[in-house]
Amino acid sequence: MKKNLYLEKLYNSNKPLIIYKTKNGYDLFTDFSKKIKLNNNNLNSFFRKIEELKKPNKKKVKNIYIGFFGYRLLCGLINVKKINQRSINFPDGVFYKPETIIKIRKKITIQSNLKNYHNLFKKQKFTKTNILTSFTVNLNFEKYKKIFYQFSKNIKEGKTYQIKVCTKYSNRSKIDPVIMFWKLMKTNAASESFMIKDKNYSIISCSPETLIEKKGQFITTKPIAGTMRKTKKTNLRKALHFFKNNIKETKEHNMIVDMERSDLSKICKYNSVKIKKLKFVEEHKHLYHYVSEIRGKLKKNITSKEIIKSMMPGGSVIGCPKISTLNLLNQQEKDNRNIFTGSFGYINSRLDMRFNIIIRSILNYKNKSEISVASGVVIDSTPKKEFNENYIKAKSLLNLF
Amino acid sequence: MIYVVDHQDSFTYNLVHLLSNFGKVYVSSNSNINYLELKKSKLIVLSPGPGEPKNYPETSTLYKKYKGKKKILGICLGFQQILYNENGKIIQQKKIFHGHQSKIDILKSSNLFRSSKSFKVGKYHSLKLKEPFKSKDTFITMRCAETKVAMAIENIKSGVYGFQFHPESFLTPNGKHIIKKILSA
Repeated sequence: MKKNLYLEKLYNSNKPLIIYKTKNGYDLFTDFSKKIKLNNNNLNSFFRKIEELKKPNKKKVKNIYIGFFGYRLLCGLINVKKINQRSINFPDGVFYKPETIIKIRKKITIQSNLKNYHNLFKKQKFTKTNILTSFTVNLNFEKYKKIFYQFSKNIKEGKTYQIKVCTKYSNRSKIDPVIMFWKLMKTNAASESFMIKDKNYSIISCSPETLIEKKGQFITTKPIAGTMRKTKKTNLRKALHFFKNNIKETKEHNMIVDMERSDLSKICKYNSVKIKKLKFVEEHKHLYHYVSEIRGKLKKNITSKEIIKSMMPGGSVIGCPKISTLNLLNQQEKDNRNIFTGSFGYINSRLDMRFNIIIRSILNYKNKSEISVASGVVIDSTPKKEFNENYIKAKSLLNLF
Repeated sequence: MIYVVDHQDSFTYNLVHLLSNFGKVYVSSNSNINYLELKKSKLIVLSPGPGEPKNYPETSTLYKKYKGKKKILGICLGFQQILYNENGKIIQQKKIFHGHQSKIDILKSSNLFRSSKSFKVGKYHSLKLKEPFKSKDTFITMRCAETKVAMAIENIKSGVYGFQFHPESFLTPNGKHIIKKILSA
């Protein structure tokens, strides 16, 4: 069977699969031998299973867990008080153990622990993307303004220095995630893009933000703080000039850099945490981002759980200081964030890991699609500007429908 | 040993790494003090954090108990915590500087730092000390060059020091030097 034909067949089958962007292509994971739905009660046993990943195995595809931690699960992990929110009962987190990995580069290579991996297809009922209702937003401008001024007051009181308000767009729809994902990749193949297609839900994301890249003893994070819209008149140099001379963007970014340094310092050796690259601009299809890169050397005997607990949820999408800001957010936000501002990624048999921050994403569950976006309340922002920024961030995904 | 009282801040571990240049550091939350470790420490550091001094009664109790017995250093909220317990009033500011790099002037009242010098520091505070502030032994020793807001205090007699700015921020290039001065005071 030709390899491309195999992929086409796979896409049209009912087999769950995950695609994750890499530097020079995409990795596709499938034939899941385990699927673990996470909640606050089984999280510790999952972390124990992670430590067992490094037990040697002679299989072609080494042990790996790939999946996501939802926002609520991550709040629970750092003991943020639970609040009753509207919920669609979507799982707090799901991880999978793949037996087949397909590397989609110029050439396609397939590694599998299964002999007959290509014979396992059942053709699925063809689900065409079908929009049943138009998008509605959970916060109108009046409600947003109210929350905005409440948080401005909290900033003046010193309870938070920066806080990110989430708005959620949703409609009723059925989607074909594979077609939608590749369509999105044509226009916006951001570095942390991914797709999950499972039997009862799917996620499509063009996240640009790397939260954790752990290789051996070294750990890197690349926080984004600062967004500028791209037009015909802008370029990389002009974007850098804009960010450097904009006091609001600079202050917001400084705060995130210091917060991420501190999060890394919890798990890294003294004096090993260094800013590798301070304040550079990354260009995307529709916008520019202001980014820094911070790196540290892990202390000996640090567990995967300790790394995740100290880095998640990623600070740049929450605000600062983390715990007190999360408590303020959870009091105001009436809807569960689900996957939004959680993390997707993997941990492998060397206990190396790569995790992103789940933003710019569509969650489709029970024939409902939702797109969440957030932007920051800092002392110099205005509700109108931030409300509009939320819409700009959602627009490229709304356009897919 | 140095004991850091953490007020659940997102900058605390920057401070821990900075302090660890000068010895072993023990960290605990403000509501869960380990007195055995505290007794072994020669410096108590009150960390930055959200909110205002009156939200942290345990820290006030600790300050009153150890003032004059051990060297104490307060950063940001910790600085305000010291002033609050010295009958200072902590109030909101009109203009807020979060993540801002500012120039600081050293005043003649400083015993530790040479006056008429200025340097750059990182600031993250919503609140400030209400002035005039009067005290027999606690003196304001640094001010923001632009806003004149109080940025440092020294009480040589009791060994109590504080900074409104953040020596551990990457926006404060000579943070290590500043901490060294406190430790050798």
